[in-house]
Amino acid sequence: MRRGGSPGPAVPGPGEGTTGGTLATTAAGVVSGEISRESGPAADLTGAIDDGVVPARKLARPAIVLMAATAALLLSVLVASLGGAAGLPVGGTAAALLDKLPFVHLSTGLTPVQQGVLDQIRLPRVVLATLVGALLAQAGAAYQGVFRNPLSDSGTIGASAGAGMAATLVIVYGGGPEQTFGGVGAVPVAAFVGGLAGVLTSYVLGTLVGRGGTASLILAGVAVSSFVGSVQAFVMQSSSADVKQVYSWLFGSFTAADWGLVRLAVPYAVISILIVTLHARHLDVLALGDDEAATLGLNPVRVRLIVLAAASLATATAVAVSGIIGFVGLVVPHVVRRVAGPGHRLLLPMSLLVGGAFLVLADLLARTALAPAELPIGVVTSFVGAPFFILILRATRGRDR
Amino acid sequence: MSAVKAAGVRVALDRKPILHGVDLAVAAGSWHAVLGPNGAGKSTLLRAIAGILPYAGEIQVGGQDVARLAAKHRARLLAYVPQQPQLPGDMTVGEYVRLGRTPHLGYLGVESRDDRAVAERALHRLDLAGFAARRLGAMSGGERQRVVLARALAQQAGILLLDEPTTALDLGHQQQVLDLVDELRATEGLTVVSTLHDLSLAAQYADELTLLVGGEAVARGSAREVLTEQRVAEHYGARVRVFDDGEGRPVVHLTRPRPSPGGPN
Repeated sequence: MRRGGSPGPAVPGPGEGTTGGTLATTAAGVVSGEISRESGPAADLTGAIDDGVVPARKLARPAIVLMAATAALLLSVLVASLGGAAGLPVGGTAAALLDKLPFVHLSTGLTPVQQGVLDQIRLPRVVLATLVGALLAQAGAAYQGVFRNPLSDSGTIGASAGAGMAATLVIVYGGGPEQTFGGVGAVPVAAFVGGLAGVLTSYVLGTLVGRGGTASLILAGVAVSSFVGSVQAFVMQSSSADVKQVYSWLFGSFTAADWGLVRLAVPYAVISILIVTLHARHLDVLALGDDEAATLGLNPVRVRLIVLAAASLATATAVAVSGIIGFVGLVVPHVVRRVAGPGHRLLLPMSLLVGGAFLVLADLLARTALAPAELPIGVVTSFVGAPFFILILRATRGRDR
Repeated sequence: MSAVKAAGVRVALDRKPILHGVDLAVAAGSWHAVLGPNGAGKSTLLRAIAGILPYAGEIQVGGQDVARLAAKHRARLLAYVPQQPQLPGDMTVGEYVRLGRTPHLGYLGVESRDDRAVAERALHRLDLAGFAARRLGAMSGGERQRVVLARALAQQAGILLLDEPTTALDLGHQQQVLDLVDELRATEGLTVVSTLHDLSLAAQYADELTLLVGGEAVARGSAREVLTEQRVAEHYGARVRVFDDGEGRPVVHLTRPRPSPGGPN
């Protein structure tokens, strides 16, 4: 049953794709369309309610959960657009955000300077944070589903390590962030390629060494991450001048956010989100184990390969535009699972929404807590996220099997 | 006509041969039990029939070669229940049973109204109608086995492959599950192939038995033909007495060592 092959899609040429409109609306539109089609019928049979609580209206629950998450995301975007040194007015900013929607034209009452701050500084950053949070959270949910292991995320399969080492090499030996590559920063390109290469190496090793089972893939990922990490540590050790720069990248940041980065990320984000979301039911079947999935007519190895490739594309894209941001991919799916249940048809879109909201707020905190200084966002996600995670686990511990 | 037919089936796991040319013929609508001591290859045979192990030789299901069937097509002919099914604790019973509809959906398909009706009927059939919203983790052992059977039933395959369906169940639930399977076999016209480690239970429920020892079929036929004291003693290395239950089905008992003359009892 051995299966070779490469999960990684071809490395794209940089700087292509100028999708109009903000990503938040694009992604949310695609996803919610998918869901209302899928979860509507699914809902009226189970009611998706746990623990025997009789629901008032069975049909509504997944829809309510999704709408609540969407509202939370939109509110987060508004709050994050307001927060900061420029002191934008609430009403005007809200109007300006609505004005971005197609067919909506509102007078915002913002001064040209305020409008400029919103359009060129705040919005790209907020949109990029939403995008990265959504990608990381959904990729985490996908990894956990593929490996049937709650501790899986981009860190366990070699994606983060690969991206980290590639970026470090470019910063230390390749001329640093100023270096560009076909109009795009060399560091994002290296991180993208490195992330995919890390996953590919783990996958090939795991398949060669084991039989392609989930345990051997995870162990191969851990081995690759550890090996790559040691090389990275050595490189950093030997070049102390660049250590600070490398560190700031390793903990992630949206300081460099602009519309160019958003445009860079959107095409890959849309592709990976579509592929992962459309495989939700397959991930549910994989949860029964490979043998049963196979006797239900699925090819578990192929499904795993496809979802793994798409999730890794998402991770590589996120890492390329923001550096390594830990904890989002691990924690957000778990929190969502506690609320929405383990079914991937609700879990995957919910992870997008909640992941986006979480990272937007984390970034707001990162740039305002010690203003004018900025905290690395990875520090914020872990510092705030870890205690929050423990609280959620405690509050919902009745659900432990 | 045979619903399942195997000829000269050989399987090797990790290059270690497990089955050495097993033949099997299961009549449509019957219950066929595969017996044998630990490590005889019972589960391996079942997994080969289910199409999840590579094998040499020939296995036909409904007249078609299992190895050549597309996975989805195979899944519409055969439903397989492993010895220890994985039941995600947070999944609800309804969600789980609906996954049985997978072979009837397109690659990116979603359950239709009909699919949901089939799943609901399967729940009903196994007395689980009120359990759809329950978490799998909150079900007892007997209930879990019924849930797994409902999932297999929702698959609407004509052949049910059950690997030790009564492991980890107490006496009452063993009987309940086997009664249910037998009832489904009769009412839904299913063909059942199951491994069973309990010889007396196999004798009670199965129409035909195959005794598998060391990867080879050493006996097949009715329970009375297969389960003789001498054969069980030889292949299981056990001291047994075989009684008749009064209806022509053998009952196999383990016995203590023969008491020495003059000893108690």
